[in-house]
Amino acid sequence: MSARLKKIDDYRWEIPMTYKSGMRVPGLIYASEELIKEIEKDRSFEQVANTACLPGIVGAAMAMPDIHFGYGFPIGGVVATDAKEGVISPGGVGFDINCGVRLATTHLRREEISTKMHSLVNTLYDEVPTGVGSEGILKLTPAEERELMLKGARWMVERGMGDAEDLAHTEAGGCLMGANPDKVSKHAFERGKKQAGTVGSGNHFVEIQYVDKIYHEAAAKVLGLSEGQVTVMIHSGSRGFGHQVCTDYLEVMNRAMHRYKIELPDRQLACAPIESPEGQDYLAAMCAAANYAWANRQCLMHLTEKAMLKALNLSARDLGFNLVYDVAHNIVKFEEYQIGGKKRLLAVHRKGATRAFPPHHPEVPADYQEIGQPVLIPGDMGRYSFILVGTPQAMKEAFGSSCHGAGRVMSRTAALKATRGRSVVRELEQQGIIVRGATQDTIREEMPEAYKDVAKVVEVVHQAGIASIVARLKPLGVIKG
Amino acid sequence: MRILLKKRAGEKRYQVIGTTADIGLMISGNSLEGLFENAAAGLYSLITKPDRVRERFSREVSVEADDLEGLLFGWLNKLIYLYETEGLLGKNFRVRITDPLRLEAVITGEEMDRDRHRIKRLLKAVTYHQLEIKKGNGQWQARVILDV
Repeated sequence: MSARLKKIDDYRWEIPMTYKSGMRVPGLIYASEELIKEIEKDRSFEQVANTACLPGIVGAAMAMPDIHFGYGFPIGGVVATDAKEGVISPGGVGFDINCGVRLATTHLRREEISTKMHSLVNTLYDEVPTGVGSEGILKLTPAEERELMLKGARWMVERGMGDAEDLAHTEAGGCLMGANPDKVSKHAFERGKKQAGTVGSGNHFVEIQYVDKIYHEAAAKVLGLSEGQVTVMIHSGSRGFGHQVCTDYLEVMNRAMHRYKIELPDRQLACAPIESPEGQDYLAAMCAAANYAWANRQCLMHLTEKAMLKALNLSARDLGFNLVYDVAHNIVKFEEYQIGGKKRLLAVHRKGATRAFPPHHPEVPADYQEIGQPVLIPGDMGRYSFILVGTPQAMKEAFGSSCHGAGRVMSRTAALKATRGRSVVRELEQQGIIVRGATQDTIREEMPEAYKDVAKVVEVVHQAGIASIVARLKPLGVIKG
Repeated sequence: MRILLKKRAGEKRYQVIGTTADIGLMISGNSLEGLFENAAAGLYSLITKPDRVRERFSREVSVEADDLEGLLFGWLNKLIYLYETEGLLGKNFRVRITDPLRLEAVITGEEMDRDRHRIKRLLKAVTYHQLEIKKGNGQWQARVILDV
């Protein structure tokens, strides 16, 4: 183990403040002995150290076990800054604002659909727009787009896509207050107008799964999960709309940094004081993009349900489609924490990290109060995904946060090289997983071996006590952009 | 212009590189404008096979920035924007960079056709990560990473 990292215990590693000049707090990485070696290899710890330099940062610059090298902030990073004195940074949220995951259960059992997967996946592919060379079903007027930015998931519910109960099972009710469409550029409006209700490409997907194993019986019961049950997981974000908001505000922040005399080791850490006009404008635009993403996932879920009803020739009652929860994993939220015996309001940046609130937290849905907030962790398309719940330990030491996924270990170019002459689709089919994607290279780039084993990632947060494993889900069919 | 293009045909104008999560380009050019033109060609090559793209119409764009890196950032982000909003796939590029930093370009290409163009991947944005432009031995070089 290098001198740059100090082992605190089997699942916690510290980057001392002395490691780099400019660090205002230490770095704290959640990882196992095995994972920390990979983290040192791709030097993502360097990025954790860089984020520790942000003005107003509180506690520690954190990283979850799925951490990998991003731009500026590592992916898997959690940075909390003081809401009054600290900075806000678009790079701490990511280009895909409110990229997130939702999970729905059904009344179906694996045996009922295992022979129908080709037809189900094909119907999904036809009915749920991926947004690659095709538009969504919705073409928004500027007025509709403005309204969507203000209402989030509720905008879709008002149009008959899902119901009000879905909002209770969505982080932040599927809408952040504070959105202001006037702070969103014309370019973002243009990119967003035909993309609402589209999956997107890269690591986004709609996946049909089954519950493979229950670890926490009581929590599984509350969430309505049982072994062999068919579930649906959706991973998508704010599409070109959010990407443009981030792009626009990176430029704004870059110019503002000189004015506020902020010097940082990496240009992509561009930021401004939260209370500054630039900070407030970004926040207002970020909320609009977060709401766009929640509306997007609400629409995708509705279209997925419709496609399943069509492919399986079922009534809605028999399908029993039900939203368990929806989480954001690229976002900044204002949350209260006890720091040194005092209650403080902090801007918690989660870039590739998921909120993990404990039982009895006021923001946890009423029906989940006893078990805590569901934490949805998608793995790669060949292995498994997990559901966890948040814990009091997460609130105490990790700003109510947990990991978000598997994290890549192989670059896209390396994955393309490794899959030359192979058919990843055929290999997955041989494992009983039917995959259909809209872009040529994406499935190869997203091959299972390109990712860490997500079981090893969730094991760390479970053992560290910041989230508790409830169930493991395995893929049956996937559509991708 | 045609002769110049023929001469350029043998050169390696760009190379695809990667970080753990994303994809990027190492670009070279005999002139600053050539660098920007090759960067555009490299970007579109990440989206689809260049030889399938035809020159059907022209589109003029302009970009302003405070420095060269910002200009490259703005130019490539503009191309992503035009692809997403108009389906524009660029085939040929004529770039003019004036002082103070302003880029004017003519892009010739066509609108994406799902029957002829197989899309390799979608690009979310250009990042500032490792963004670098430098000149050495009479050659301009740049590196840019894109979010996928």
